[in-house]
Amino acid sequence: MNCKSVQGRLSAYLDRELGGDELLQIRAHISMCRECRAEVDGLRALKSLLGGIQCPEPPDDLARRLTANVLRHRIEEPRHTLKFSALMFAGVTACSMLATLLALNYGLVHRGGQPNVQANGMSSSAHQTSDGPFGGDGFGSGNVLSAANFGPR
Amino acid sequence: MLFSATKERTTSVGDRSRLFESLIQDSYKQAYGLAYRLTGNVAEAEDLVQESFVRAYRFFHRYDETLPFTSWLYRIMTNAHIDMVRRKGRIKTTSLEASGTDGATTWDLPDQDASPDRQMLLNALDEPVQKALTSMTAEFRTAVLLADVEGLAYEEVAEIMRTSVGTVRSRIHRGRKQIRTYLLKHAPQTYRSFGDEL
Repeated sequence: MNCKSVQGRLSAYLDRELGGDELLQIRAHISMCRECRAEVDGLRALKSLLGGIQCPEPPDDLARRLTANVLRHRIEEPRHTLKFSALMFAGVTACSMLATLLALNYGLVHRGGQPNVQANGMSSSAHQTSDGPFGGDGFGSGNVLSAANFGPR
Repeated sequence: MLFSATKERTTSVGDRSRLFESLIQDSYKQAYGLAYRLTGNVAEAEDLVQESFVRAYRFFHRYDETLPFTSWLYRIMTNAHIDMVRRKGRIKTTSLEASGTDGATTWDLPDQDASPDRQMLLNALDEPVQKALTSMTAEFRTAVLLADVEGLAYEEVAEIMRTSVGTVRSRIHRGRKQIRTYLLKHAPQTYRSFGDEL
């Protein structure tokens, strides 16, 4: 490790932000290099100076004024919390599923109804074959089909 | 159902106001100290503190209560300060220029447990240090102040400034060197005497 490389890390070294091999290498270099040792001393003095400086006391009434001025502002409400988002997702999913089911039913009604209209009085077994997967599954599609089949009469 | 929900929300807002009032009481001195060092004068420090607390209050629902309030407030203040600097284009130093010479601004420094000589040198260097800080970019100034005046670890500084630890390390090192260069140029004797005192 050369002086330039070491000096670039001396602040972190002083702040105890280095560890492992890096720390050991820099410590070893400083013990042997007078220039880098002087640099460390200079930075240490500066750090001590910056840590020691004081600032003016705030005005006596600052806390009162801050409280009055801050609390008259409106609190922003969270627009989308995680719970809200989860509920929204569940709602949208449920609506989508319902819409899909209705659309499928609607499609089956028309697919199942058309031949009926054309055949004008085909046997009821033809209706049952056109029910497809929802024919007797308890979703109520059978009733819809039956009702639709009365339409053309 | 609706009534109970509304009541709960109202109570929550009231609780938040009371909680926030106590947070202001607990942290305003510390916040003012950082704001003063960031801005370099009393008037802008007050503006910055108020702006930071207002932002914190308005978006209080984003505060993670498992973390110290001051860390969150410092993050807000850092952003507010950078916004202020960008809005103005530069930081005013007029009040610092005026201080001490015409008596318009006084430096009300509290006592410190230190040797009289060291304290005297610290007092003498306070104004040049503030001028050095003011001459730096907002990013360098913030990193140095958070590390050296507030005593935060690099990781905390990085968290507040929303940057990497490597960037913080670089900003602190380069910032300190800029301050030292400034002091050696503008207050060489006092600064060297301070170094000898250590």
